[in-house]
Amino acid sequence: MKKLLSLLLVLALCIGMVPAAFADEAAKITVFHYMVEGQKADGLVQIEEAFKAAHPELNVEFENLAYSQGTDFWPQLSTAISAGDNPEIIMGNPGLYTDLIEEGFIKDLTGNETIKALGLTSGDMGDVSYKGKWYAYPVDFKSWGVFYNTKIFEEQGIAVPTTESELLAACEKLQAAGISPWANWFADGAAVDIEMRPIVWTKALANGDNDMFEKLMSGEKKIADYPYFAEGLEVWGRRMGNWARPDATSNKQTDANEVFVSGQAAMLYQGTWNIGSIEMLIKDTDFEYGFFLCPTDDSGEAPVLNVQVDQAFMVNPQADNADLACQFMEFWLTDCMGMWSDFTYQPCITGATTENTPALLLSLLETKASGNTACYGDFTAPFSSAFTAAYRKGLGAWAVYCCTGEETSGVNSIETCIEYMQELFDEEIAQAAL
Amino acid sequence: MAKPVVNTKTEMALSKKIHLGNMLFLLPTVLLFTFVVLIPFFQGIPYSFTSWKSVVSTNHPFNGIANYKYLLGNKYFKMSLGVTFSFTLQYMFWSILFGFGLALLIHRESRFNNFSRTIFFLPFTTSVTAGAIIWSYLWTDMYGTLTGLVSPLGIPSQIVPAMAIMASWRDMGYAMLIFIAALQTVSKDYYEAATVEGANKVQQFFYITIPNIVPAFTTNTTLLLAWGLRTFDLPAVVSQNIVEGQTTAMYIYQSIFANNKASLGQAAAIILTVILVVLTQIVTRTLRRLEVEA
Repeated sequence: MKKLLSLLLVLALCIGMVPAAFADEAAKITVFHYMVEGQKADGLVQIEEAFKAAHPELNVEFENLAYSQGTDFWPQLSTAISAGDNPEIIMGNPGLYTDLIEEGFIKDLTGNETIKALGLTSGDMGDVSYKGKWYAYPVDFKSWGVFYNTKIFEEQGIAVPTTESELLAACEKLQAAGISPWANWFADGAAVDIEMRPIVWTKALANGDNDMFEKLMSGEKKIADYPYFAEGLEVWGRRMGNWARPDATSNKQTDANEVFVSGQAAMLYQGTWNIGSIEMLIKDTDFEYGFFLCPTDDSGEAPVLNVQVDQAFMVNPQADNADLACQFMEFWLTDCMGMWSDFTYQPCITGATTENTPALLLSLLETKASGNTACYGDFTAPFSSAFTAAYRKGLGAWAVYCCTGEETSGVNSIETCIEYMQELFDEEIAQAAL
Repeated sequence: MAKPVVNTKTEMALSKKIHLGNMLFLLPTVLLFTFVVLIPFFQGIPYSFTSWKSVVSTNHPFNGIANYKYLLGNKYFKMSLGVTFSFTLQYMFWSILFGFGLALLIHRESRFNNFSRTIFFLPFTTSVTAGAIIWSYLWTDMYGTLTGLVSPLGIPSQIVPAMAIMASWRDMGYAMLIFIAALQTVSKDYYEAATVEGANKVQQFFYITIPNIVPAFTTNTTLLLAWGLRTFDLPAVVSQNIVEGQTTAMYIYQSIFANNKASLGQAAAIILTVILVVLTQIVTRTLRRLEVEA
């Protein structure tokens, strides 16, 4: 009886496998990405559907790996590739994945006609290049600045600040009225980094220090050799002032969004990648917000827009369907840019818009087109993940000191913060030499 | 009178058969442990003597003991060990204290106690990451709001005690169950005899209860020590950018993956494993000796 039952079970399993074996399986394109925001997921679905309508024979599969400052995405990606699980498309800016390029896991796209036709600036292309070659399809870009609660600003009679003094005066006024000026999220490394960029990137590029990051990573130069870091810490320190909320150093991005949209704080220093998240949070509410680039001096001149390619996608030549992956990416870049922007609130790298593009994105695109920009891609190399992490640890210690008065890792002044960051950099350099 | 030889031989054969049967039950676990833990561990040792950078790279040039020499003299690796020990001690202390306290309160059989056990054990069934996110809200939105103080997760010097409390909240239920099982094995006769002899409750606790449940302390201490020393998920969620909250497991992970120093991370992992094995052995042997004395 037992034997008969076993035989029947095996037979049933074999019969069950027959349809799978004979199924006409469509070619599959696997995309490894780290877009966790809901609106971006919606955008991906729309693009996938549009692509499938045009190419019913192809299947696109998106695998979402959390980014978490790169510490989650890269391990999962690298272990998958090491184990022979090759995705066709990998999200990321090539400068952070040089090992993959060196090992032949990223396709050289230099001279690609679709990318060429986008007519991008050298700064944009720099973000998707490595050693002068193109390695990724750029989709959109990001910048950062101040989101503000328009109702609170109106009630308090505060105009959009055009100088640093006006911004600090606005903070004092808000504080006096019992309103927290800022919703901070300094537990997240990205927050402390973007606070510094308007000074560091802008001034370094303006002074021709395009190789600053490269020289800092090689040890040829020290942080103290570049005055922009000290200036950045000083200006950011003034912005933190004496009005930090108790949650300033423990909040992460989503926490600060909640503080901001619930009206507990008047301003939020954030990246433009967050527009979609804010829009989702305020859906069906009467909350209104505005955005301005953060003034860092009293010159009254329009602040420079920092630009960095945000969503960029590399193709893995060792994957089964690499050519089809290029076809998919080129379809995205030529047919879906406006749609992508509408769903994600991301400003397209090409400047593509639709009738639904929000005014905020239009103003960002306009500023970018004006050329009043400082592009990360204009640096000869970006900070590697290890240096980014070290840099952010130093900045985090500065944020803790300014917000709580607590001395961390000996950081109690701009000088000690720079010393600490340099110590962490030296550590990275020593490890690289092993 | 001696047993007939035939019977003894039969008994021995039966005993061997039973022993073999028991071994067969263990076999799947032993195989799994060998393939998933032991073999990869020994395979990884040679990599710690190379300057292997990225895990996708196939280039592993030999560099002798450079990684070990570097780590043993490195400030940040030593700091990570300090954080790990500090965390482990605090975590063990709170888990055992609360686990034992709860066990004393609810070890007797009753509907209410059974329900309470489930409630206290529930945190152990949640993922560490989910628990860490819940605690982040508690520290920031409740503790911060009620006291007006900065969340301990926002102050590097307070982050280790905060993490220890979070981990203890999760694992004290497990410790409690082990203590309850031990408490239920203590014979009531001892207490009755002690009561007759005029011993009060405190004396009964120290002279009957504690000596009889020392094995439970051994089990809990050994388990919590091992879990504490290899804590990774909590700091990964709450203290990624803070050196003062970086445990050795986190240091290893970041070296291998985020920082592309795979061989250095591998060397750090081997050092941690050696420390873990040695410490666990010392603690277990010491506690076992106490068990015998008790």
